[in-house]
Amino acid sequence: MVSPFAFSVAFRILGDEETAKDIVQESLITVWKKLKKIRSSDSFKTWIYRIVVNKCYDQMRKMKREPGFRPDEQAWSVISNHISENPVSELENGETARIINLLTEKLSPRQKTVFVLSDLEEMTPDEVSAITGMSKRNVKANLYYARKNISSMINKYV
Amino acid sequence: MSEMETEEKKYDRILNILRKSKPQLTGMEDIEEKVLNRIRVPDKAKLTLSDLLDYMFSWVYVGWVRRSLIAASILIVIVFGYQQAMILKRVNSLTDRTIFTESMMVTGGSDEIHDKLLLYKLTDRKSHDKQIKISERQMKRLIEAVNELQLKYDDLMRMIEENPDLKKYIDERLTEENREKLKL
Repeated sequence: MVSPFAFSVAFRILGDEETAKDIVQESLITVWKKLKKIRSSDSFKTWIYRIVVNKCYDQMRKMKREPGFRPDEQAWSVISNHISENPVSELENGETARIINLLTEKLSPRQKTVFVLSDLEEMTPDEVSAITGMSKRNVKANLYYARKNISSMINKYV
Repeated sequence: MSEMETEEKKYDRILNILRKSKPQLTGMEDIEEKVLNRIRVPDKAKLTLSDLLDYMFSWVYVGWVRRSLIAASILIVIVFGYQQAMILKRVNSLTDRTIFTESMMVTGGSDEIHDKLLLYKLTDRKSHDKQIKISERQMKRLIEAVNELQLKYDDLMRMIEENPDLKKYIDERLTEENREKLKL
């Protein structure tokens, strides 16, 4: 029950399936070890999200940027194709990862995390604030910059 | 349709696609097996570096702790800067002071007024700055020192008067000019 939403968050933040699975595995082990610290069932989901997000931060620090990374023409065309389809079809994992990586290429880890949690996982600012430890004002600021950046990328390439 | 609306529509459409395309987790059984294996085997005492770092620094993910640390570090930098400025100011003021090494006068320890007067005398009564500024407290100390000196001088004169041999000795040693000065 925990794994699907943990995987969804980790995958969307990190953009890699195998790494996201490792994060899910590590998060479940951490949950098991620290289960005694849960105060109530209400905060359980927030607590798990927090563990996943923190592990994603650690991973993002370890991951090195590929030198000379450039926006992928092919991936942009995938986006264009999907936008023009009616009704819109779902993307596969690989396509989703590519698109998210493209759109969030220039975002900082915090901006990317806030964008994923707010706009993709559809969480409220309160929930995002509780998970990331940022104030609501910071959450809104990071989200604003993330959206602005992503919009400019979309307008440039689509 | 305006350009802004078109851009917003594009953004919303792409977000919609991404939201609908939930990442599909495959190989759940593998993950479960690995997790159960890790849980069953008790953790040995061996600590990896990442475990250690996680244990030591996981508290920085707590928002209020992070903000407090930032505030504390800014405060420390400000205090350090202020202290350095004070030290520099003090060093500069010390380099301006002239330091004399000589035997102490009967008035006791050296202080700023004493240094200034001695400098005045050594430079043939020509003051460095054409004037010497002294405070009321320094003036009082100067007067006390003069009074003390006067008392000691009187004692010395009395000692010389009471001891004829001493008086004779001093008479022989002193020149006429110095005798006048000491009023013997």
